[in-house]
Amino acid sequence: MDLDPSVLARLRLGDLAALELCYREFGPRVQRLCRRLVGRDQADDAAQEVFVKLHERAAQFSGKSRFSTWLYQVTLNHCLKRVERERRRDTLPLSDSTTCGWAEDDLRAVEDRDQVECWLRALAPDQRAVLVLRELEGLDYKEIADVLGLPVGTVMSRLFRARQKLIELERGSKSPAPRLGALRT
Amino acid sequence: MKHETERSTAAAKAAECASMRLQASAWIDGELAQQTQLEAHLAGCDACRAHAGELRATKSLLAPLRADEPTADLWPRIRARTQTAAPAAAARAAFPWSRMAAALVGCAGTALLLEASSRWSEARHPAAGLARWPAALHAQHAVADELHSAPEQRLLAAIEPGPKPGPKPGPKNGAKNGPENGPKNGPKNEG
Repeated sequence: MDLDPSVLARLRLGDLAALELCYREFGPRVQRLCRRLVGRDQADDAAQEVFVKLHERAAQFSGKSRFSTWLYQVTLNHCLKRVERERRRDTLPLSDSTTCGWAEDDLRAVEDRDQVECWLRALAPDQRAVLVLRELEGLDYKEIADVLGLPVGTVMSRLFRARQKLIELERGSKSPAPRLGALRT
Repeated sequence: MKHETERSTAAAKAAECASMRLQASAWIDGELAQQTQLEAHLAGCDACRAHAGELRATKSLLAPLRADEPTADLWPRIRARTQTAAPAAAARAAFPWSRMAAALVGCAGTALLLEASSRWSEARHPAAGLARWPAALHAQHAVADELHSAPEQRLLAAIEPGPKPGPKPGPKNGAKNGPENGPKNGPKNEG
């Protein structure tokens, strides 16, 4: 489902009521995407920033793609920039599996959901983006390709690598410390 | 020979398995158009069948996240932020950027025209163009020429074993001490 054209027209003119309608329609999706991409603690901030950006830049929407595709693009770009900024600030490598904690005792204490979120954060941002769009947002390969501006073949190979990495992380979580070195690739 | 054949067969098999595993990822998403080759491969390759199972399992691995819907209503905070941002955005919008840009383009155009007309005039009357140069600038150029020529003369003096820089020799002397005589004396000097 896409944004109503009359709402879109008002949004382009900077109408705050139209922005609220847009938030009611797409807010949960944007919040969910932010949560998967930047993590739970920063997700709300990131989602707010996306809607402020939307308010400022709605007039730039060309209308060539669906509004939802454009909104996904804005959200993804914003979140990936944020992740990159954080990474630079903390001087962390893009993919840092050590942050998940691998000790068996820790794993028992961690909820499934937190564990999976941790694995997601351990993926490289480009892999994380395709996996989230496919598995959590339910987009097909063509839609993902449109959002990310990539060929479908690249979406397919990135998704494969993301799943491979997830399998490795899941295997690593079942075995104690000796596997850690092998995971840091 | 036998080992080589075995090695190349193993390499071809590994490449086929890698390609099939990539396709298996699209297959579990229902995005693979040609499935026959993959299904035939999976039927005969235990390792790839197991791997396809693992790829499929990643879907259920992410299941806990699907149920986790955000509940916070961010609208009040978004509204507050847009209202704070609005005056700045309005000020940016109100600033006459287009007029500024037009004025700048106008200035640049005038400067280009003046430059072009001056070059055209110089091309027609070179001396007149030179005469417009201030005397001080001529003096500066003269000093620069002098400075440039000094190292050249030192270099020539080092190469040529002839008389030290001074008044230029006449045509006869120049032929004796010119660069073409250098190679004859060169080896002696080097030794």
